[in-house]
Amino acid sequence: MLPARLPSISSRCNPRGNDMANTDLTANADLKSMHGDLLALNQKLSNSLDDITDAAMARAVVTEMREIVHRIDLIQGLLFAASAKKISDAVKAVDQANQQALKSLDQIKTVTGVVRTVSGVLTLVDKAIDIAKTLAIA
Amino acid sequence: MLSIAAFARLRAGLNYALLGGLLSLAAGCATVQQPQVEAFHQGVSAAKVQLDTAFASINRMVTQDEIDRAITLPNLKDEDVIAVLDADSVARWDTAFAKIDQYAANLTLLISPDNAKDFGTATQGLADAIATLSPNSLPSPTLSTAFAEFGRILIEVKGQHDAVAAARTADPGIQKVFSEMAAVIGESSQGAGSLRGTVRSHWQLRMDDKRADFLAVQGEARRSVVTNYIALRDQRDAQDLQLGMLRQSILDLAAAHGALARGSNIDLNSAVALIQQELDATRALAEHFQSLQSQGQ
Repeated sequence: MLPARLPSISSRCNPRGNDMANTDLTANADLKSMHGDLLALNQKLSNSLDDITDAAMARAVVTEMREIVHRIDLIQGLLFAASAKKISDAVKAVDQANQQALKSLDQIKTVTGVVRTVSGVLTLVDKAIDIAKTLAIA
Repeated sequence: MLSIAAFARLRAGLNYALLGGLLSLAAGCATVQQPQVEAFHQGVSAAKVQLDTAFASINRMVTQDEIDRAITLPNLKDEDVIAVLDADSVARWDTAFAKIDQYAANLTLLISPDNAKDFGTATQGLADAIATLSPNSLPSPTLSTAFAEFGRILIEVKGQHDAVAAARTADPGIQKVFSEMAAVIGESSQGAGSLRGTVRSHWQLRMDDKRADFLAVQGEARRSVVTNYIALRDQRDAQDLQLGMLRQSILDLAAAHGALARGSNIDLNSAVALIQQELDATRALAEHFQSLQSQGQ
């Protein structure tokens, strides 16, 4: 039987503290493995209820399961925090691509603007030539 | 001897042939279609909404079970009532989605037909201005329209080329982000380290709580216990299906982006079609799960 309150996993694994930033792949693999072991233990306790007909004993098993599930939650919390850090690191490549896309959009806008400006200048030149022709005739 | 009119017609014909050739060359480049890129963009937004809903319901369930445990303890500590998906980490997921969303929006803009149309209009204006200034410089007044079309296609090709280049830059990061997200959710509810495993353990606890209740009562009193047990089992299955479908949508978003980075329209089309179906199914499952929860309450 498990004690009513197991030694804190979070105190051993230091959840979400500054040390979390230094959590390496091995630590994450260990946590994942521990999570898997606890899931298996929870399943085993659940299976044991198939043969229990005494209400008090069944309640004791469920109480133990509650303790195990709490520890599953603690480890899941640590794994989730570690994965969120990995996601933050990986998304930096998207920033770079985003800048690339924005630069290209700017280039398209600029070249369109240049063509419009040249058209405008030519239209003005055209008008100037017309005026010059009118003045020459006069 | 060619007449002047016949010579002019021949010159115009040659110019059209040259422009036609250039247009065909430009149109022959690998392209990605704006609707597909827009569908990828919408898929990213829809996946985020579904994830938010899934995360909120997971945190609610965990909190309820943590409270059930906490009331049996001699004293209360912060770690006794944790939020399994803590706010800082959820915010990191949100930021990742926001960045991918913004990037996808810019890709959509980059290959928008409006850019090419604007440039085509400007080019036509320039051709018209040249023709007015020097009528002999263009063989035919209608050539300015073809010139504009050429300009439009050039910009379209540049937009598509640059979009694919940006996608290539983003792809390694996008693949890592989506594969990490899919791994967190988990391939199955038995998987070590997966959210699906954690969620299943909570449903198992709740269902086994009912099994203990069952032994404590007799006869007709057992009916409501069994009914509750079945309701919990249905909720467990609905939530697991929802999470599984969400994971698949995320993997297909990764596949769609991979196709985009390769400039493969066929792969992009099929991935986008799958994403749409899966997100619709995820939404339906989420609604089904919520209705089961309401019935349970």
